[in-house]
Amino acid sequence: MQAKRLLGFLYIDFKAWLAYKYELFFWLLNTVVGAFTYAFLGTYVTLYEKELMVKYGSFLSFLIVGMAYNYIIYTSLMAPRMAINPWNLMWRLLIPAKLYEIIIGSVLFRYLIGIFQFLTYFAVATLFGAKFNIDPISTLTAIILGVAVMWGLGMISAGIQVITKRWDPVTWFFTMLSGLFSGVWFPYQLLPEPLQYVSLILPQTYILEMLRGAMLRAKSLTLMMDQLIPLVLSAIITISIGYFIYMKSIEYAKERGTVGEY
Amino acid sequence: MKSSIEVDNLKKSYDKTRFRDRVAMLFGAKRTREKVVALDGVSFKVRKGEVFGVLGPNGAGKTTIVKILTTVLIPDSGEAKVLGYDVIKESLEVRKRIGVLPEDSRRGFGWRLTAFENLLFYAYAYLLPNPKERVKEVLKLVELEEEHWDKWYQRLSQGMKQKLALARALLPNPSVVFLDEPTKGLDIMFVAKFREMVRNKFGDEDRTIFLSTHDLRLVEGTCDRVAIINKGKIVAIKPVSELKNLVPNSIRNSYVLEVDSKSTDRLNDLVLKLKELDIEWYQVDNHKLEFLVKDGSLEVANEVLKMAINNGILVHSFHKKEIDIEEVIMRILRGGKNAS
Repeated sequence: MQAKRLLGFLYIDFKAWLAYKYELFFWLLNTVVGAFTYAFLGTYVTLYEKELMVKYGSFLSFLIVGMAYNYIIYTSLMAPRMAINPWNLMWRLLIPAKLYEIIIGSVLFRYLIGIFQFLTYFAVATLFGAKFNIDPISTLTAIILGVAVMWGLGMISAGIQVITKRWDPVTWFFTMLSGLFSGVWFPYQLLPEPLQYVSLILPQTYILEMLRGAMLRAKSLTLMMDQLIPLVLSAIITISIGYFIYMKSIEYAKERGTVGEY
Repeated sequence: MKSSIEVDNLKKSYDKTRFRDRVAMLFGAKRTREKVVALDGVSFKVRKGEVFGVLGPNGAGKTTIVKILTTVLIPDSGEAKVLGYDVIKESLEVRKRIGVLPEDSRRGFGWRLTAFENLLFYAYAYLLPNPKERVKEVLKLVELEEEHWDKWYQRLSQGMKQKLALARALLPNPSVVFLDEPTKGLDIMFVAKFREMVRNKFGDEDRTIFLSTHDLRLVEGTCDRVAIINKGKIVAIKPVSELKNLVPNSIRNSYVLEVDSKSTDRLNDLVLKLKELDIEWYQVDNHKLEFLVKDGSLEVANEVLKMAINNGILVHSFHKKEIDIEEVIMRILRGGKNAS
């Protein structure tokens, strides 16, 4: 093996890595945030295990609800963007269908897969003794509101990507922050107090709180107004803005002739 | 309705301003917008059941016209209608009635789906009755052999992929079919068959075909009329049979004398003697003499031939000049001739 040759490979990969400045910056940020997420997870979950048991039944039950968020609700954030990838966009737009039909049709399968994945986790967790105390109406409401909020954000993200063709800040922002601040892996209340303010401005925090209340403690809707109201407002705002941005960006791409471009 | 497609004073330019300059302009910085004109006041009509071709060099605006008419590009100004429906305001109605074979026909296909499965998706998306039957019909129509129907898209040859894209364009049994460079990648045997298919409008006499291509033989063999476009402007719209009339008489009625390479020098001597005859115009190109005689007189032309032989020139061939469509197009494009 020739060291010089390996050095050549290293060199071109390093140069290519440096070439995407924005991605490089956010890669570094993701690494730092990811490291903190696991540090909190490893430290505080062990420290506060008893409190967790009291509030959520078990850490496993707590995590499984996080999975429900990841596989069903988080899919909505990614779905509109995936539905309009440049390879398919032009042909999707040539189909004699309304834009919303195209978007929903393009993402339906991802939801089915997401639900299947969640049910698998749910079944295995039950086998391992995880306990759930479910209020069906509250659970369904939490899922619908979660999907609606994320769908709105996903439309904003997709709209931006129709124009930029590459990275969009919305997906990154919510993906990166949800792991650390929103309580996917551990309750956000375990974070130092100043950081909890970040959690409170993220809609995912409310989605997860409501979902856990509904699936682990069978809370009715009337007992979850603190989550319900912010989520309803967020859904209205994000869907309105998202749909507007998405429609405008498609129009913009049609005007600039960049519909099929990467 | 007489016209399938009506285009009136269509203009389109692309903004090529760099992204960072556009951002700077958003914050009030003064920058000049860089624009490239793709269409500059294009107008034409295509009759129902017509095979209409658009010819022109790269970047002339052909694909821009196709994109606007197929509703994926918005023009800056002007109006375009397909089957009476406005391509911007009634784009859904337009899309219900058209079939498109775009320039990059690979788009929109799943590479790990079979040819049949790919088309089946579109059959469902178009809400076609008996989708499986319709898919089989169009696959047979484009002559994609049955043994390839169950192959992954990525394993089809370039020609097969193009046939599949053509099948997709024909799937909804459209009233208007847009074909953008349709013979790209097709094998020679199928190109001949394809010309026949276009001539027959894929089995429907009332179907309108809009053809954008570089393939002059395809245009010559299929189109009723052709528009020649250059730098975003239509420079001529003529029936194919009349295109040759756009070339000056001096070119159309000339004779060509081709001589052996050993006789090239003597050709110059012959040229000096042409002044004795009723020759209006001539040009020598290596071992070829092209000349125009007054009133196209065959007798005078024969005199030239006799003089050549008497001068010891070895004649390869002597014939009246045949103008091919390629030459006509080249001359129109070079001359920027306006015609309608």
